[in-house]
Amino acid sequence: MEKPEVLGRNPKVNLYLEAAGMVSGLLLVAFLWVHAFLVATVIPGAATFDGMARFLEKYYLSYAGIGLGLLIGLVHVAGVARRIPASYREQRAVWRVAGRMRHTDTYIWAFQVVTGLVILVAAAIHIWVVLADWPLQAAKSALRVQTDYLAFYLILLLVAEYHAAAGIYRQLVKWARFRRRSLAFAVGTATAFILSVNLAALWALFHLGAVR
Amino acid sequence: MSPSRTHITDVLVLGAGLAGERTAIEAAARGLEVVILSLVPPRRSHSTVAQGGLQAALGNSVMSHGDSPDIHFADTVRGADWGCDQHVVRLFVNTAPAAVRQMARWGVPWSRITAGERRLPDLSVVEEPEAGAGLINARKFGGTTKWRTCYAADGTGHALQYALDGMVLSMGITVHDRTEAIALIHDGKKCLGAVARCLRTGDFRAYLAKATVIATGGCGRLYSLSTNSVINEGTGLSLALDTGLTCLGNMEAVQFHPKTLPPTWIPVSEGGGGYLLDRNLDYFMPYYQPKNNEQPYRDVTARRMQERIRAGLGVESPHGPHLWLDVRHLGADHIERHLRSLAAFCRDFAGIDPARELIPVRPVQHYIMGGVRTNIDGAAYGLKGLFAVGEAACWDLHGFNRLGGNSLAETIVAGTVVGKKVAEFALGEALHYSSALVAEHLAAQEDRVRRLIAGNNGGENVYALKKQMGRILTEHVGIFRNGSGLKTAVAALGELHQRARRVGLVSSGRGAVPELGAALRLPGMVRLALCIACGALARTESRGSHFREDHPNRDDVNWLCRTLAYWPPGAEMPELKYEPVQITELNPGKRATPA
Amino acid sequence: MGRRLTFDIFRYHPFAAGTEPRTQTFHLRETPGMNIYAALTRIREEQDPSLMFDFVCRMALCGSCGMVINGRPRLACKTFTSHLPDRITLFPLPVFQLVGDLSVDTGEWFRHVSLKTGAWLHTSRAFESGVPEERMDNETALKIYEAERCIECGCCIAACAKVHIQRTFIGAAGINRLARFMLDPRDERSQAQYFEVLGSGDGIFGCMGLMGCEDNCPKDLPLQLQLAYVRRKMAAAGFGPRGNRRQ
Ligand SMILES: Cc1cc2nc3c(=O)[nH]c(=O)nc-3n(C[C@H](O)[C@H](O)[C@H](O)COP(=O)(O)OP(=O)(O)OC[C@H]3O[C@@H](n4cnc5c(N)ncnc54)[C@H](O)[C@@H]3O)c2cc1C
Ligand code: HEM
Ligand code: HEM
Ligand code: SF4
Ligand code: F3S
Ligand code: FES
Repeated sequence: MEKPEVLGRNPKVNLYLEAAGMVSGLLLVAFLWVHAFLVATVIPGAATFDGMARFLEKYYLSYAGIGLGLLIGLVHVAGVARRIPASYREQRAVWRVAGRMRHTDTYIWAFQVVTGLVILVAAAIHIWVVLADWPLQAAKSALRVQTDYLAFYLILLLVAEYHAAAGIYRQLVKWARFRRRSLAFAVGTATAFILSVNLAALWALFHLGAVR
Repeated sequence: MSPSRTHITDVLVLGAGLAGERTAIEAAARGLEVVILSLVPPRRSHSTVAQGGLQAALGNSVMSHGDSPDIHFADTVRGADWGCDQHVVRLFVNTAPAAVRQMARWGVPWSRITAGERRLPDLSVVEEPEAGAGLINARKFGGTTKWRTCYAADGTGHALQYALDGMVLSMGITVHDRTEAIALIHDGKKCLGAVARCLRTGDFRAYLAKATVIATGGCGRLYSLSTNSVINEGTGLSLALDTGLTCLGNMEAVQFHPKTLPPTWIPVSEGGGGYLLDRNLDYFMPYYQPKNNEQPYRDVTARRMQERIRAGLGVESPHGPHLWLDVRHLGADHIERHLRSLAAFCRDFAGIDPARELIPVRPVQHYIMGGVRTNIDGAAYGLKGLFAVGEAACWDLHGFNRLGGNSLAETIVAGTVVGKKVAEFALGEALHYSSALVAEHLAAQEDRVRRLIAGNNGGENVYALKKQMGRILTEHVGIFRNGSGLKTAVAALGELHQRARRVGLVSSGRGAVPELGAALRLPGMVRLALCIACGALARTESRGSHFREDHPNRDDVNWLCRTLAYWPPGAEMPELKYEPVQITELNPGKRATPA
Repeated sequence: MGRRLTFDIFRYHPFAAGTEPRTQTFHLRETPGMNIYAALTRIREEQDPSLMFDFVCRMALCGSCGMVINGRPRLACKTFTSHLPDRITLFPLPVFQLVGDLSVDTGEWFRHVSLKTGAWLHTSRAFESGVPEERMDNETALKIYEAERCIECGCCIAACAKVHIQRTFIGAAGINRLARFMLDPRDERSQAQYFEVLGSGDGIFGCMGLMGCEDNCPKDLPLQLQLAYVRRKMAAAGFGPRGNRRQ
């Protein structure tokens, strides 16, 4: 008999890693959704957005949120890192299996890794840019969107939403009592909704007259 | 030549089907070291395809109330057309219920009774009382008075095999799969084990044991059309026959499954709820209808069907003429829920939706009642230390027609009974052998291989000869037999037997090349075919599945006896002897289908 | 007349010295109702009798004939040429030890996993004959049977990218087999005991939910739900109080 594959001495380490990856992922999704609604306060007008920003600032909510978000992000990357096939050879094996069988769910996972890495870089840039120009203000945001960052945000948005959607879907597939078809439908619907909120916000930022 | 290795053990079991594994467990439980050989991993054995179920008189369900071993006994003897050994039948029916319950203890998920209304395959409805809820359920099978067929959904054989193999694993019993026994080692009086060929490398090995058990299953693939797994080539029977010392019993007793699906010949059983139609869509078996709650014996249905086909009323197809099975009236919902495997077979293997289309069916070879003749302990005639069990054996439970469900039951019952006897024998026995004798047996087999590879024998093609053998049997030694056809068959098979020894290989024959295996098996297979044909020619009566058009009646005066086929060394034909059939409780009478 | 089919078949006999892996092409006239079993049998009998492959039941019940057909793991006996293009490639299942050509040792693999995980009914109770059987709810029996239906063909193993990365992972079939005992009230193992064999990275927490298993299972086993069931149970066992209670 072979010894089972365990990381470290604790036989539960695989369970803990699994849980960490899942909980952090789901919390990040929650963060992303909250973030979407916060940015969406710009839709009624710049004043609402600025009011929201001041409110968060007043109770130190933005700092708490950013700090917490970064922490969760760190846990997430650490938690899922073991899933990213460590070596090039392994990564190739996965793509080969997915490719030969033209198998959707295996592809979804492979893209999960790729989109995760893209997010890692893009979100870092994004957060850097926003924090460098603190505090939050609708006018500043609109300026960014209207000058250099529209394409960047569109890409980040799609990649992040894909990653979040696929992440939720995959978690449900792994844990839920329902068949994949209905899971995919539910996740797809939620994603479509949140995506439209995000796009509306971007649109509003792009058309915010005050700065033009 | 390839290196040879020798394995020594207490008990050597040839075959890892239900019968082999059940026997092995019983022997191992008594502290003996057991080695099982099998052509394939145990869980791939032919036994896993048995879907229907097995007979045991538990009497749990409302349709089986009042059942008892006595009724099971009468059904079995009547089904066998009195050709069976009644001592054995009595032992079998009395042991079957415990054997089934034992399998539950080992994990078989037997289907259970649910209280309340129960819908039967023929759409009628019965009420199951609360008292039976949770006990092992039973369904109907042809030829039984009471409902007695225990089942695990649509995978009884599979569930039994996995449970037994789990026990084999947990007990640490050694299994060498992809290993084919090709000859028995014996000293003229006592069997000492077997020579085997590794199907991975082609190497030979010798296995030596105090007791050797043949549990190699049936030989349906002698016929060109058969429901059997493709590995069922009867090699285990050849091993015994080729010693010249042991004999095969009742080889002419071959069963044909009435309803199989062309071109793969998978049996499609519909639980008696369907109708059989000919090319004009006429119901041709007036009594074969669901409403009167009656299913005739398999041999009877098969003959009625073959009659229609011979009368030109079959439907022509690229795979030969067939008839129709109609289950459309049962409705899609019922078919999906109660005839799940039938629906799956029709869809997957014929592209047919049975709820809307007719199913093509035709009878083909299904089961061999004959086999290595043993006594009630499973001990083979003629060689000490040799046993046989399961379909490979002629324990003689089935006589001239096996009841559906009795063969799976036989594997686990006989496995228990014979396993005990094997253990008793092996415990009281010491292994004495001479290495010269073992070397001699190994050398004989290696020499066969050498000659085949060198092409010393001739240039006959093994596959062509095998096909010819199959066609001869299907045509002349099938459902209907007659003197002139059987004579033709015997002559043709005799000639094939000569040619089988002149096989030359097309391939290199090295390693585990399949052609070599086929070439090694073929002569023995032709000898089995000859035992069937000669036995059928000699038996000038009709009994059970053996139907002679020129002798259509049962003849208890002359033929209430069992055929024993021997093959003396160097002979060209089998030597047939006979022994009386044991009648203990039920005298020969009319063989009406129980209502 | 039927189509002219072209078969590209992987050839290699690892036990025969001096041979190299290669692909060999055969041609065959398609006949009505031809499946890969019939095609391969004809190729062996008429063209190359050294061709190795495994069939036993030829009715999708024994699990012998898994192979990669046009890129996907399939049961060859259940695959009909009429559903395939004119050109058909046949490869042995990956992961498993190659016996020769299309024949692989799935039996050894499954035997090893069964031994490693104790895949048989664990009960301390001796059998008494002459006593009626213990009762069981038919629904429970059917639930067990649903998992029991696996024929150990290995298609799900070959289709799982995780197995390709980590050869010690027991795969969907291995996990499903254990689920069958977890569902069985006759099995006396505690959740903690199950956790020992299933809670590791070779067990349920090695599964990444790729679903190649379910999508390629020729018996249509509900592997997604089965794996989720085991995952929930094992998470409960792992996080729950250190009890040895059943359920
Ligand atoms: C399609 C079909 C459906 C059936 N359904 C039912 C049913 O519902 N109910 C019922 O009662 N009966 C049924 N039967 C009959 C029943 O399945 C068999 O009679 C029974 O399974 C035989 O079991 P066995 O253990 O004797 O042999 P098998 O299961 O055939 O096992 C034979 C074993 O021997 C091994 N072997 C063979 N030759 C050698 C050799 N030379 N060396 C080493 N090993 C060897 C094989 O590898 C295998 O492991 C059915 C039969 C068929 C064809
Ligand atoms: C952690 C702190 C974060 C802060 C303070 C923050 C803040 C903001 C702000 C103010 C905007 C408006 C546009 C702008 O000002 O440039 C914005 C837009 C955006 N942010 Fe963030 N963000 C954070 C994290 C993230 C992360 C982690 C992601 C994705 C993974 C992300 C994705 C986006 C996207 C896609 C937009 C475009 C607008 C939209 O689609 O709603 N942000 N963010
Ligand atoms: C806004 C940011 C992010 C969100 C909302 C998010 C969300 C999720 C979710 C819900 C999952 C499913 C968890 C799981 O399957 O185990 C997941 C998985 C994953 N995430 Fe993220 N994630 C984010 C950022 C990242 C980043 C920055 C990386 C960078 C490496 C990353 C890499 C991965 C990987 C590789 C997986 C797959 C793990 C697996 O399936 O086993 N994610 N993510
Ligand atoms: S789960 Fe399905 S694919 Fe996997 S071995 Fe079992 S039957 Fe084959
Ligand atoms: S494909 Fe593999 S990773 Fe899990 S869901 Fe199936 S076992
Ligand atoms: S031959 Fe048995 S599953 Fe294909």
